[in-house]
Amino acid sequence: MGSPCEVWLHGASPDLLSETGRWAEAEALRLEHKYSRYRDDSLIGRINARAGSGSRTPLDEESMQLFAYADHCYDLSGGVFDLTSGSLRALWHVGRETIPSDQEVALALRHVGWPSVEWRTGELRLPNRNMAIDLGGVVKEYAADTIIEGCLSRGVRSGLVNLGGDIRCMGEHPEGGPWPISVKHPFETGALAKLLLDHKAIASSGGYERFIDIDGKRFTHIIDPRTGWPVDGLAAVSVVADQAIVAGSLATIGMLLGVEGLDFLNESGADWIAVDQAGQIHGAIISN
Amino acid sequence: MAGSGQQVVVVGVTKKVSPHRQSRNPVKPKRPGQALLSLSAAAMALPAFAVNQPTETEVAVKSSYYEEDPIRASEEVVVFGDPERYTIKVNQFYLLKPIGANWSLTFDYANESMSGASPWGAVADDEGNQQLIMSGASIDDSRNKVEGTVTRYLPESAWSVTLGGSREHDYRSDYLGLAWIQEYNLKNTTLAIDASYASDELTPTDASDFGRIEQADKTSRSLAISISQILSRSQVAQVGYGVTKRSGFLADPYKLRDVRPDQRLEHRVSLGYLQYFEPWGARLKAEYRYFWDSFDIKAHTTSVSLFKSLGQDWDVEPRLRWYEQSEASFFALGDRYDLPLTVAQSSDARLSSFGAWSTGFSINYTRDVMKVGLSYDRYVSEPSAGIGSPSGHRALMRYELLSLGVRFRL
Amino acid sequence: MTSKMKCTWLFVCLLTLAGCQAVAPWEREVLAKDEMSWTSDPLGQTLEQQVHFSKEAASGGLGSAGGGCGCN
Repeated sequence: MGSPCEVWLHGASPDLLSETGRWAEAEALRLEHKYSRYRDDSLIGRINARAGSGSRTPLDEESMQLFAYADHCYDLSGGVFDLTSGSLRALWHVGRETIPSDQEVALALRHVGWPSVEWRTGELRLPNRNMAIDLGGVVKEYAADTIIEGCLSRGVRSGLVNLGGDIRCMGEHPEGGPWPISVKHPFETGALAKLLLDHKAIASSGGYERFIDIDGKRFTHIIDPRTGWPVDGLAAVSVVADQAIVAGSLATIGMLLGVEGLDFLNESGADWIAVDQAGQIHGAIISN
Repeated sequence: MAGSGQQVVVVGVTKKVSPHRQSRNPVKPKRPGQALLSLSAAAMALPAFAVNQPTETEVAVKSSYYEEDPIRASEEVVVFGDPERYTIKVNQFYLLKPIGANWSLTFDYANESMSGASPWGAVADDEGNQQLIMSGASIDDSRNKVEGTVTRYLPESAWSVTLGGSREHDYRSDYLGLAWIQEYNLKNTTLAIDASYASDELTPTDASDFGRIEQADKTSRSLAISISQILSRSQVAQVGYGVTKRSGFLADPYKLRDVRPDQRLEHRVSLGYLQYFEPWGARLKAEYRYFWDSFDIKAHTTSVSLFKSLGQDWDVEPRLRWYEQSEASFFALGDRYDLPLTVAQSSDARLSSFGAWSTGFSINYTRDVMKVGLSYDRYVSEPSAGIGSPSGHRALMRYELLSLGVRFRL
Repeated sequence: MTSKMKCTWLFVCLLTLAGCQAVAPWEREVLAKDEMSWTSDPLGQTLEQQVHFSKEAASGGLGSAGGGCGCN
């Protein structure tokens, strides 16, 4: 997953817990291997290798549903949530010394565009050689949900999954009560928010951990696929929802929309908190 | 990481819109909270969440009181016995428990206690008018039924096995059921096949005193197939066909003269429709069934119910049902003792031609895991409204049914 | 048989004039409501079927099963 991951399970039967823990680890690895864009033998690796060649990659039920979910996010977000926007990262790569020209940006945008991806038939085809799909953000959160739901159906009812900052919990903390979570502040040491999670998930999106400096100016690593430029406006967004994948998608969309994202988050129906580049805090997470 | 007080400079970016791409504004939610609801519903399709198996344990109890109207009519109609009809008290218990990730168990128990009189027979006078012979002293009887079902869930299908038994002091029934459900078209279409077998034994009371049969057997075999189709996000339709073959002693052993064929083949075709009206929080359900059998009986059943939410916690459901049937080929208004016992005949009201209106109403209150419901139904027969010429039976049914139930989902 | 052909065949069986567009799983929030199932009250339905079985000649139909009683 590229970031630290942990699974905490709590219950009365050590055998059940260790068996379930082993299953959870195997499941996280399975999803990572299947959807990693860094591996040639993963589904995404194969899809991206065939980009522009005309050949189609068959999708299984799980992949089909993940793409359908991402498609739904694309519509809901007005086009900012775009699985093909990863190729824009190559444009704004670390170590770049000059700001890209309009022509460079326009060229890069030709390889971006989720609507042009064919997937609905159950086989996926990327029409353009430089197009690439990146499911990384979605799969990490989906893995958290898969693990929690799998634990619940196996009879393990208390626990917490933290996959690189995307957290979902169930049941009670070993010392009783809901799980205490603290959300890191993007600029300051200490917590942005402390809350108690009761059978919910919290996911965060933030550009503050990775950025590039060009000519003394700082750019985030989150690129708006509509314009080809890094977003400004928000340094970090965290959203609480019943499912990690929903919390994650809302956080990502909020982040990608920049300042517009505040309205979107406000009207989304979820609890959220965000910090803009000036350090001002918006929204509030109320402990449930 | 920048400490507090240090400003982070970010370039003010003017949004340059590429000519190749249309910049769309995000979907403006029509109602607050739509984004969350929309994504949550979308997420439910993912394999991690999409398990057919019920996720909650359900426990329900219900107590009901059933009372028939006494025979309306003057003394000329009831020449013997008690015009008071049945009253029945029913207590039911239901449990549904998910087991592991792929199984569930259902347990069903019912206890009925009934008392009252019912027609023993009828005679027809010279003008063809019927006079009833009712049973005398109140019949007190009770029935217990126990049933269990095990269901196995697979990604796009499920199968289940049911075993049950019903016991009364004069009647015993044991039955077995098998069911299979298969989903198609992204679960828009559901095919269901049900098969069941029941083996019953009658041991009528006071058999020797009244010249009744002392013991008899009866079996029933049924097969039903139905298809349910989602038509839109708020509409579902269903069509079904079922066939049942009954063999053995099919007559009513308590009637003075009741002789029926030892085989009965029944068919039924059903249609169902559900529609939800989002702006009103209301749901319409309509069902129709056409029944026909080897006794020459045909019946139409039509029912409509309207469900309406009232605020967060309350809902109501008024309903209406119309039923009409034709008379059996061997139905006779008055018992004919001159005919040999090998000739089929029955003056049983249930085999005569009649129609019946039923109106009912339920009101439910939901709070957290608990739902409490009260319902009332009134059933009124219309002797002249059956299929074909009216039989004119005078022991047709009118009853009231009142139920109070509580359900917990945990 | 393709999905579309199956759909068409079922239509004939259903005798319905409505269109057959598959409703995607994420549009199912209305269909998931209790009141949109064929049997939202199993005990109530069992009771009603039992009463009708003992008073009418017709029996069975959508969603029924079970054994006999001395009531018929």
